[in-house]
Amino acid sequence: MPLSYIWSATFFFLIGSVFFIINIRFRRWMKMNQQRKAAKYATFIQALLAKAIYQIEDKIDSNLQAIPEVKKLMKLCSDTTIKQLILDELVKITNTFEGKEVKSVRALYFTMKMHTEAIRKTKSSRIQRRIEGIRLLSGIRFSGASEHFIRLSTDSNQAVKDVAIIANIHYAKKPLNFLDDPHTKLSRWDAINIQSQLSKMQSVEIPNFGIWLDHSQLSVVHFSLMMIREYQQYSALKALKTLFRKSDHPTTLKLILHIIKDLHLVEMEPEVVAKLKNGKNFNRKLYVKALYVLDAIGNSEATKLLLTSMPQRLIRNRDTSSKFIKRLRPESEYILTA
Amino acid sequence: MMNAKKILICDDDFMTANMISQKLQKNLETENTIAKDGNAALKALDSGDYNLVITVFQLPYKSGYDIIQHLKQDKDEKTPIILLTNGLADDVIMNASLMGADDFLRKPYNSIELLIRSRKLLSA
Repeated sequence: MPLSYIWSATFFFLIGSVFFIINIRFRRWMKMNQQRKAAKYATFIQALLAKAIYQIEDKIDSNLQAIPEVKKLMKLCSDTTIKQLILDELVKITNTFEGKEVKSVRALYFTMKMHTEAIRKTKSSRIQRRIEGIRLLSGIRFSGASEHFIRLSTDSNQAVKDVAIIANIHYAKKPLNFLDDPHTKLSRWDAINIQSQLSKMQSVEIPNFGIWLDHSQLSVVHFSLMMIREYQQYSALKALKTLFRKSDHPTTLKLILHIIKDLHLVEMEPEVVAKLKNGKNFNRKLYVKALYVLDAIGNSEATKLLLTSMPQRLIRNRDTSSKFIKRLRPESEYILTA
Repeated sequence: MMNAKKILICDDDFMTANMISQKLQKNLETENTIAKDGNAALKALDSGDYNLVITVFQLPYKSGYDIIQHLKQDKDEKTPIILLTNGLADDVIMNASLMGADDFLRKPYNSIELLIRSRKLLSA
């Protein structure tokens, strides 16, 4: 390689490094400057905000922009650092107080068009900004925020997705409306996250998960099945029947069988029998599981019949099935002796 | 405001302290002092007489227990105390009450509730 190439490469590398370091230093300097400015104005802004909020309380139905304190705050908002400071304080007040103060804060938030700033952040290409946008929208309990949470609940970044899902569960009127989107996919982690959030909330209205059993994404169907089992939703029976009839996915069928057993859904018995008779639908494990479920919900006759007329291709597993049922239900031995 | 009652508000969050102060001033016409940390709170208690103390439990340098102990046991004063709690365990509130806290309010604070309790303690 000619020496001039090496020199050129070294030169470009050096120039690049210098720019990189200058860029980092500049960003750090900007950040420190913002922090210094925020600290300098914090006390002044807090006092002004407190005054404005109690002024608004008395004039909530009038033109808020005419209030001198609000005017001053709006003027200060031309500076992005101060605007962020005001936004943070407004969110903090919403979390600290309840009643009249929160009403005034919301009125101030909309008068100052703070929601547009928060929405703009949710559309940022930077992950931290998107999360910040969600925090600002949810912190103020903005009723129109749900559509942004739904959009972000399918975000490519897992952290953004998590925060959007949590915010939607906590603040949207319909906590799981993001599942209505046919593109929503749930990972195992998402499912655990949603389940944990729902169990923490006392006042949230648990939806009928049966409505998502015809979802185009299998992960949502499986999650809904787990939730039907968790919340013992008998109301999902019709949707369960339809899904059981048309599905041949082993996990789907297994989850439905679990529900049938746990909720003691005797209404599902003809569907299970029909599926068992058509041996193509079940693999060995599922066949045994279905037999066990039938036995558990009290249909010993059906179990006996099906066990003795097991399809040819499964006959090899008959012994296993017999042992399985015998082990789980010793009193069912008479079935096996038939 | 010659006969204005004096209230000491101890909260490291200046925004919350300010909001409480504005509310009390507007509705009860009180004269309020804000202490941002535990040391400032104890100093204020030593240098002035207050008709009511409103304090959060977790303050920088000192806890709510320290404020109550200083006021009720060390100084043996009858000044009532309202404790503002932020998700504290019931036994902490119970202990504070046994030590002399007169009332408490859980977060999120309802300012009307705070006003009623303050008025009641100020007139007692």
